[in-house]
Amino acid sequence: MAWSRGIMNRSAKMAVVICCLLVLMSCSEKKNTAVTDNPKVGMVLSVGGLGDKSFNDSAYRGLKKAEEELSVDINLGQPAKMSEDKKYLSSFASMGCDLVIGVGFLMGASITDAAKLYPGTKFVIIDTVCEGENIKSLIFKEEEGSFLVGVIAALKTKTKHIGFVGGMKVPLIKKFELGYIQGARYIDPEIKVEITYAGSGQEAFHDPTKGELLADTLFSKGADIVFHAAGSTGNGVIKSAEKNKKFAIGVDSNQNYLAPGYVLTSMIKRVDTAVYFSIKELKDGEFRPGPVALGLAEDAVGYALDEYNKDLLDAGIIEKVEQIKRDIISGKIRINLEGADED
Amino acid sequence: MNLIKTATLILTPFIPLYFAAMGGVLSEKAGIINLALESFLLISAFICGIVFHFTRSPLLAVLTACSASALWGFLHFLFTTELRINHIISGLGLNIFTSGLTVYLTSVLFNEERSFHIPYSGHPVYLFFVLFIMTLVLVSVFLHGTGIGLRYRSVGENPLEARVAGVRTGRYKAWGLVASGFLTGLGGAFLVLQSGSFVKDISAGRGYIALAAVIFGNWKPLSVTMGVIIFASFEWLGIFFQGSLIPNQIISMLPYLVTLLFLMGIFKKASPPASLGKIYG
Repeated sequence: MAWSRGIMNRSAKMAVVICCLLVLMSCSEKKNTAVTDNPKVGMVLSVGGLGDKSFNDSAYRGLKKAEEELSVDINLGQPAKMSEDKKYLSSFASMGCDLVIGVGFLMGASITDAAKLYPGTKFVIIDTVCEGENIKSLIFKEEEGSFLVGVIAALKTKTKHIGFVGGMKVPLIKKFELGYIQGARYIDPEIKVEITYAGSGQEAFHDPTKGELLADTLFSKGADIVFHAAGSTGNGVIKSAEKNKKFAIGVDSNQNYLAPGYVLTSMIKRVDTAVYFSIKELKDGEFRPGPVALGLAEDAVGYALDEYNKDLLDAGIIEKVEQIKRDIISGKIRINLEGADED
Repeated sequence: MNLIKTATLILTPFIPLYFAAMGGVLSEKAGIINLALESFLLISAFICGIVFHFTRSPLLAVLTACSASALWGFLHFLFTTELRINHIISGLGLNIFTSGLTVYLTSVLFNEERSFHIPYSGHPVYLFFVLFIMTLVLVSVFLHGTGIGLRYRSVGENPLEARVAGVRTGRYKAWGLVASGFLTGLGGAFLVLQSGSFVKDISAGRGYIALAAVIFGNWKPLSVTMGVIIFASFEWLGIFFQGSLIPNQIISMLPYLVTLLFLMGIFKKASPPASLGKIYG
């Protein structure tokens, strides 16, 4: 039909112009390449890149800290899609980086391949375990941090009923669940811990409406604190806590500021600390390949305490949590991870 | 538990599915398969969040959100009818494009972040409940009680004969898709207002579920609404049965199983519009 054919011609031209602009905009990536005798470190972020307020940003903070305090030269790669990570890993290795760090479990296979190709370079992979004589694998003891927030929840609950919203039932998220339950039961063996999961597919980690519905349900059944380990589905959990005047517990990074007064604390994973220390080991000549699990003892997991939640946690609670933290580090308290790999 | 909380719990899974399903009915009755519902939900959710963030006006946010997805509806019409692209491909293309576009624009507008919060603290449930009743009556009466609705359906059943009879099929399809986008936009706006934040791919597959409900309801507005109620209550049962003996994956699976059986003609013959998905002319 003529009336819309005319529009089509013009809009096709517009589309071409817009596409060109988008391509130009995406070409403005900066790279940092100074030539000195300092150790060279390359880091490849997971897809998503800087600005995720979580994993990648945290890893980058560790890298920047190492640059400032240990005077190493840094290179940063931000793959636009998953298949590009190999390219960044091998280009960093071939340009003479002493250490190449891969952030996130999705990069596991690429790191294993790159480590075989460049046996003289040292590699670090974060959040999964890779086999290789020049690979150091850093994983986190999420269950220890979750144990502590479970303790806090059990000390703070008035209804003796707390909840958990997980993204998807996978071994990683089960570690959060098991630590949380055992922490709460450690304080009060009678406490009711209700476990829910948002779904069984990828969308379970980006569905805040579902997260809110799950938290609403938990609160209406009598729970007064809900811990989430569900990515941005958790935004809905925090919103629900604010709406119902109850408490949520954040995850991964410090989420206390998202709803001041309604986020009891956050279970934090210090990726920055992990990155910083692996670079420090390289600098000090103490780099050792193999898997390392980082927990409370290394200050790599923990609970967040800042100006947004300091009024919610009184001195008694903090004292008790710190005592339990010491007991976990000394081995007096053991967390049982049986069943984390099931289902 | 007070009234607003109960209403919110029951209606939260229902509302976005309902509006998307009604959008699906309007589109498919005009003969255009609408897999793009997912992108309609996503673009309207994004625009609703952005407009609310900058203007703080829920009404303006909802209206612009609906207009944005109406525009998406018009695009789907252009692709499928004017450019004669396969309906499934056009729909999937729009979904993938919108997913990337919203993430990109979020990172540009919000300093490289992947999601943003909006300071909305009202209860959108009542408003959307009223809209649900109104649109259900409007769509049913339009499709099955007016002359223009009869011509509209004829476009989806047999466009060649409709054209011979003097019906301007292209215009019917264009306006049908615009209305489909507008209605679905209400669902997308609800997603954002209800959860108070926009995150990457917030639609979370609801567009596809809505399309299954359209098939389940045999392309009739009232039956489709029943289908949506059943689908939403299965989501509810899934939450209710968490941690019990029945794995909740089984419960979430049941509505799709019933849809499949229905398509196989186990209960009653499925009767889609006769020219659904056909490219002609």
